Order: sequence, then structure tokens, then C-alpha cells
Amino acid sequence: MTAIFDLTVIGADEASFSAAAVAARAGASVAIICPRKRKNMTASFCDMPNFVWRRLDLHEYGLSLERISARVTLGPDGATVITYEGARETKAALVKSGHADYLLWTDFVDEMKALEAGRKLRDAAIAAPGNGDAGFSLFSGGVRECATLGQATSSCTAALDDYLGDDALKTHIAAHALGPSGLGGAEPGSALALSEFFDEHAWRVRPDESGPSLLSTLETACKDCGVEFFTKDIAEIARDSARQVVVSLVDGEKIKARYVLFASPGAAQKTGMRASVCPLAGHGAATAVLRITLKRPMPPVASDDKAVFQILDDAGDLQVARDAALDGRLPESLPVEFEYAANGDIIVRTSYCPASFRDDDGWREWTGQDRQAAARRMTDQLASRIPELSANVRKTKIEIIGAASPDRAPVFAGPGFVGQGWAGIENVIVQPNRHNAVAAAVRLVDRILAGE
Amino acid sequence: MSDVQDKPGGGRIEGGIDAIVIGADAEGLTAAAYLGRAGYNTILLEAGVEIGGAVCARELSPGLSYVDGEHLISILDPAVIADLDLYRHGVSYAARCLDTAYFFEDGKTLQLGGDLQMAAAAFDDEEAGSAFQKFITDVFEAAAFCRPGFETAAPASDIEKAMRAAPRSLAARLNFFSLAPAQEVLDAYLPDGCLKTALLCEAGFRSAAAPHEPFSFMTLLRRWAGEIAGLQGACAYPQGGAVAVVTALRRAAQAAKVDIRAATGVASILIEQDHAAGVELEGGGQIRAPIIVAAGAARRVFMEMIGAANIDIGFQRAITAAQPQLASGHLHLSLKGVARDEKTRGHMNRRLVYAPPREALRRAFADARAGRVPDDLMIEAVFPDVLDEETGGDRMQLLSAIAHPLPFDENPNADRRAEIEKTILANIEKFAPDIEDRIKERALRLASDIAKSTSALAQDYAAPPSIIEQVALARVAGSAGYVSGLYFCGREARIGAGISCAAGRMAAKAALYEAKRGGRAA
Repeated sequence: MTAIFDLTVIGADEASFSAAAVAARAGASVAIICPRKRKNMTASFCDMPNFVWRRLDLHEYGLSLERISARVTLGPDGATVITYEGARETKAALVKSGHADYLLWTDFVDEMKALEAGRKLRDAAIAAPGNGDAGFSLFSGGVRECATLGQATSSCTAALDDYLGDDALKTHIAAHALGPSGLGGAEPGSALALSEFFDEHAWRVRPDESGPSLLSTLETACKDCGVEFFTKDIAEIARDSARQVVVSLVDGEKIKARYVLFASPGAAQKTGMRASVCPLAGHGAATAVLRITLKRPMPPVASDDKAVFQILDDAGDLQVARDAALDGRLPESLPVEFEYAANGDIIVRTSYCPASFRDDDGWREWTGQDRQAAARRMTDQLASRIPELSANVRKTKIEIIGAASPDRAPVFAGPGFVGQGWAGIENVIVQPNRHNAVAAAVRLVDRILAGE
Repeated sequence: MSDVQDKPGGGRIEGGIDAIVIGADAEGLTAAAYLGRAGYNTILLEAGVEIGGAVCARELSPGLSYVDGEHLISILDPAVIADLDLYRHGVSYAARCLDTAYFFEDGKTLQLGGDLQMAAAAFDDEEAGSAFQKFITDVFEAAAFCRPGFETAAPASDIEKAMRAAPRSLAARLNFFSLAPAQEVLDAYLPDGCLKTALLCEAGFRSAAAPHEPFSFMTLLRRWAGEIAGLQGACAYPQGGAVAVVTALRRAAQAAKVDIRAATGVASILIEQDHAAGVELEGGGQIRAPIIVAAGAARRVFMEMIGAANIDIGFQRAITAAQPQLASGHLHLSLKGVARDEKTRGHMNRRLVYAPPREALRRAFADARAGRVPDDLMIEAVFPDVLDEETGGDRMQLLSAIAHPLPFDENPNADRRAEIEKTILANIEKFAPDIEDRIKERALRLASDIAKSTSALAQDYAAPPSIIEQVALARVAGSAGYVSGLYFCGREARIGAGISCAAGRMAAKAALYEAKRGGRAA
């Protein structure tokens, strides 16, 4: 059986559901393929921007979101850096903890937000060709635009060194800005992650404990506006004609559409595909998510169970970890992020895992032992800052996203290279890693529907 | 003729000059020659005693010299050759369209003709050949389209206009090429094999952006945007080495009646009411002129010669932000006897490249960034006396090699130098197995050495960042801090590694355009 749509969205995360629902509300016929039911392996999400909220009328679903309380980095020897959404609050916290750069904080955040060239660069990456605003317009900016383009295409380390002197603060910012996409601080273009990190929509939110989850709300919103759901695994994605892409499911069903959208690289990775090109695309590495269930309740770190925590000794460790992951090894010092779920479980995440492993015999896939080793290393990292955790772990559950077969998963030409066929499949769009994935996915859908 | 007056408090004030060019490297010479040919009374000031900047001939052993800085040319601006009539001033090619022999870790070799389009057509392996042909066609088209973008002072509106007019498929391809890691572009076009490894190596060579990192494909695109003797993507060995290009530029400048003054350092650039008005010399005295073209490093020109107080803060940030991590190393060897190895002997009249495998290359960049000397290095080597009989000694043979990536070190100690030399030799041994026994003399030239001989900072000779970052920086530096009458063609205004002269040409053209427009014409 074959179904034909305007847009097929693949993925079962917040960005995918938001993109599908917005497209359907705009009048497009939309299919969403979410092959594997997502397990609850996260506690907070990127912000749901006002314009998406309004367009989907999310207030009608009884959804209530609260913003995470703080971003915290647990350094070595008990050193802690905390920043808040408000600049004044952050400044006060930095003064209190003796960080000399508190005076620069507001200016630094403004400078990072003003990296307009970074936005231009990302737009170029996900834009349709021939569009006057994008295309290969990077060369055409004026002097000031070029100055910010230079900043945006440089490394995160260079940008931080340029503004700040406090190593602990630099480590904190690097950990939170780069950690989610698994980038190294010395990589060209990693400064782009900084500019987006300070965007207001990058501040994560959590659903109210008593209300419905964001994911289930968005799923309902999709159903309400006529998005058709397919839950079987994908067998193949192929070009059907010059204008259409066909997605074949394992049960033989075929879904044809003008465009196929992966709203996040994670969604592409889950279907065994890999996307890259843009500096924020998670290329060549995998993400491990570990859920730790405790034997008995434990007071949260810094008495705050609504914050997002990073564990990192030094900003340079991010590049070391990135190099190790690309080299097919689990990094010795694994940068991890963790947060508390509503039921008290601890959810630990790292994007610095290898997509596949390399040993003396060459490249090989992840094994059960590798998963155990990763879980152990993540737990150890956590225990290095929370010593009482070691004796309090009841069970752990680990999920690896983006593990690739050593003989290489199909690689798309990159995020949003719409309408050409020199590589990959035409009209397949993969959104790069974003701090504000929902806003980016919805804006991208708008551009697709507008025919850009 | 210049007018000379006594300056109050000592020194002399020299007037009647139309333009001053600071720095006599290839770009400075180019700018001076352009200004001189336009009839401007031009003075070229060089702080050191040598003309040519980093590119100059040095003696390795009695009767045997090597060319420091560069040994091949690949991105020399064809417009400069034509406008300054460089062929008449002595540029000729000992090897016009140099073939390249690639050597790989597993002992395989791959030979590519200097004319890449012909080479693609003549490829042995049919599948790889047709893929390579498609790749070359697509990349050459994109590279030729991008060429104006690699010229610092090209007006943004011109580029924007050209970009908008680009066919849809080309615009999309340009997007892909400009953002993607080289590894990804090559994966999209070519099957695995020697050719892909060789091109991966070319894309990472002499750049701080590793081939697996974003924007790295642009390094190759920039190289292939260049053309030598009308052949796109080729490289050549000039008669007498790369120093012959500098010599020809000097002759062109002299023929244009440029007054070249070596050992004349500039202490500061005089700014009067936001206009460049002349220079103050280190030895005292002033030279006044309404046009100043600076070819030195941006930090030196803007922060020291002009002073932070006169420069826009954003501009200062842009020119001082770079923190180099990587560099290339040059090793010149004089060799006794002849190569015993057949493989080496068969390729001595070519450009020789050792291309490490993909994984080794990635580790090499990671190691170098972490301050370690990598085990595997990319090597580009030539035997200058085989290519050009004028260069050779009587009994000695010369090998000039560039190794990349090495950790950037401002002041390497003897142990570090020995380690680097040993590693470069170990990698050269991969295509010239008997070389160690034949070495008579050796000269290791690191960024710090070249900097010392040109009175510059080591970071001025570090590996340049990604091409996108260079383009951005070049356009910022090209604005010369919004100081009217000042034009910049120093290192930060150049795009790509190697002698180009495009920045010098564009700086001089901008100066002439402004003067003609009636601004501050001489």
C-alpha cells in the first residue's frame, strides 16, 4: 500500500512532533514515522517558544512547563559554578563564588547573542539553494558581518579565551554549550554552539510533575490536526522521482512525500542514518543516556533537583573526549550531564561516545560489554562528585543513540540540502544539533512549506 | 623627486611622495609595483636587509642553496603575472605542470598528472575514474566561481550579485563545499581507495582545519581556484625556485621606479584627522604620503604602528583573537650519492606527497593540537635540482619538504626540534627509504625560525585557520581599521597558503580607485 503526503517527518521527539503538527496546521498533508516508542530518558527539553505554543494552542491541553532552575557545573575538588537565566542572578552567584569575570558576564552574553553571522551560517546550511538570503552568501557580507562570521566559524576555546579569564567559568560555559552536541572546544565552528546556547529558547524547560508530559501533549496535538502516524521500522529511503522521496517500511508499506524531514540528528541516527556538514551536527559520535534508579532517596546535589548539571574537570577535556570518540574509544575522562527525573531517578547523558569502536582488528559495532563499560564509566563520573551514589544504585538502564555500523551508515549530504542529487537522496532534510531544536524545526518547516 | 626638510627636534621630513608601502614581501612588492606603474611616486620600506620576506634563498652547504618559505607555486594570481609582466621580468617555469606521486602507508603509489582534468580522464580504475571526473568538474566549476571571493577587497555587492545569479545547482553545491568537512565531500563523491586518501591529505595540508572538521573542504577549493599558466588546480616549480617570483616582482617594482629601501624600519604610521598621513621611521625622520599600504602582520601594523587608541575595538578584537595551535615544518636536506630505491628514482621529477591513512591523519591533528609531535605527518617534497638544473650543486642533491601538522611552538627547544626532525625524516623514509644514510646537511625551518629571519612573530607563520575564517578575517583586515588612506595586504588579508600576491594587487587597486575618485589623490 502506498500513501502520498506533502511532508514526512521521521522521529519521535519534541522537535519532530512540533514540526509535524505545525505543518499539518498550515494545511500540508503530513505523515510522521516514529518506529520505536521513545522511553522516558530525559527530564528537560529545549524551550517551547511562544510562537510554537500559540500556533499549536498548547494551552488547550493542560500542559504546564517550568523552566529549569539553573545550569550547574561540578568541577574537581568540590568547585561549583552556577549560572541562572537572569543576568543579575548569575552575576550575584558569580560574585558569591568569587569568579572574577562577573563584571564581563552581561557583555559576554550580549556579544554571543549578537553573533548574527552564526545565524546566517546556519541558515546557509539549512537553506534551499538559490535563495537570495542563503546560497553561498557567506562571502558577501560587509566588514562587520565578516568580523562576526570570523568569530562564529572559529573555535569555542578562542571565543572564550578572548572574553574571559576565569578557567572555571570557561569550563562551565564550554560544558553546557558543547556538551549536548558532543563537540570539542578546538573544533572550527564550535563557537556557533556558544551563540545558540545563549539564545532565550536554549534555556530548557520541564513539564509540571502533575500535568501531562510535553511529548504526549505534542503527540495528541499532531493527531488532532490530522497527522498520520506510522510505527513500523523503516526498511529503506529512496528517491522515487525527481520530486518525491519514498520511505519503505518493514511491513511493505510505502510512504511517498515531496520532502522527508529528520527534525533532529538523533532521529536520523535512530533510523541508522548519519547526518553531518554543519558544525552543530553530531557527526561521527554517539550519545549514551543512562537512567539510574536509586535504592533509597538521596538529597539532590546543591539542594536543587530542577537544575541541569555538568561534570567536567577542564574545558580542554571536551576536545580530548571528542578526539577519543572519533578514534573509536570511550574517553577516559567522560564529560557527562545529569538531571533528576520527577520520580527521583538520575538521568545521565554524554555525547562523547564513539559511533563504533576501533581495536587491533579494525572497526566493530557496540557490544553488550561496551554498553556496560559506558554505563560504568558514566556512573563513576557521577560518583566522583556524589560519593554516596556508589552504594545507592539499584539499577541502571542505558540507551545508545547514534551507534553506527562500522561499514558505515548511509550519509546524507547534510542538513537541509534540499533539491539536489549530487550525493545522498534528494529532498531529505536533516536538522543539525540545535540548542533550540523545536524553534529551529518549526522555522525550517515554514521555509519548506513556503517553497524556499 | 622627494622634498626633504628638517624635522623639529631632529630627523628629516621627506615629502613629495605619493605612496608608501611597508614590508617588501611578495604582497608588498606587488602593491608597490602596481602603484609605481600607475605613475605614483612610491617608496617601499623594508625593516630587514632582505627583500622578499619569508621567501629567500639560503645556503645549505657550500654551493648548494635552498629556497626558504615556499618551494612551489600554485595560487599565484594570474592577473599579477599579466599586469606586472612578470614573464618579462624573469618568471619562467622549470616544471610548469607538475605531476604528483602520492605514497601510502601500505606501500602503494598513485601518480596524478598536473592537469587534473586530463588525469581524471586517463584514470586506470574505471569506477574511480568516472567518479573523479565528476568530482573534478564539480569542484573546478565551484572553485572558479569562488575566485573573486578569495580576493580580499572584492566589493561585497559584486559577490552578492554573482552569488544570486549562480545557477541553483551550483549554489547548492557551493553551500555544501563551503561548510562540509573534506572527508564528507570526498565520501559523497569517491569510492574508498588511494585517490580519496590522497585528496583528503591535500585538503588538510598546511591548514589548521583537519579534514574531518567543518569548513575543511574549502582548503582544497581554494587551492584549485588557483591556476598556473592557464591550468586550473596545477602547481609549478619556477626556474630558480619560488624566490624567482619574488625577484621578478622586485624587478617589476624597480622598473616602475619604486624606491626600495631595505633596513628602514617603520616605527609608526602617522594618523591625522583619521587619515593616514605618512610614517615615522625607526631611525628618526618622517616620510609623508597620502597613501600607505601595509604588508606586515596586522598586530604589528595596527596595534604597534598605529596604536590601539586609533583603532575600532571590534576591529582590534578580530585581528588579535587568533590563537594558533598548528604549524607546518620545512626540512631541507642535502644528499650525497644517488637514490638506490627505484620507487624514489622514478618519481624525483614530480611533486612527492606522503598521504597517511584517514585515521592516522585525524590522530595527527589531535596530537598536534595537544602539543605532541604526531607519528604520522603529511609530507610534500620536491627535488629542486632534478626539476631545475640551475638550483643543483655539483655533487649534492637537494630535497625540500614541508611537513604538516606540527604543534605550534613559539620557541621550540633543542629536544623538540630534534623530535620534529626525526619524525619528518621517518615520514620521508616512507617514500625515500634510503634517505637517512645519504644526508649530508640539513636545515629544519619552523615557524619560529622563519619569523626570526623576517623580524616577525612566530604566530604569523602558523598554519592558517579554515578558509571561511580566513575570508572573514581578510575582509575585516582589508578594511584597514577604517583609517582612510591606509590599505592592508599583510598576512591576515591573504587567503590560502602559498605565494598569491592577490592581496597586494587588491590593496593597490583600492588605493588607486580611491585616489582616482578624487579623495586624497597624490
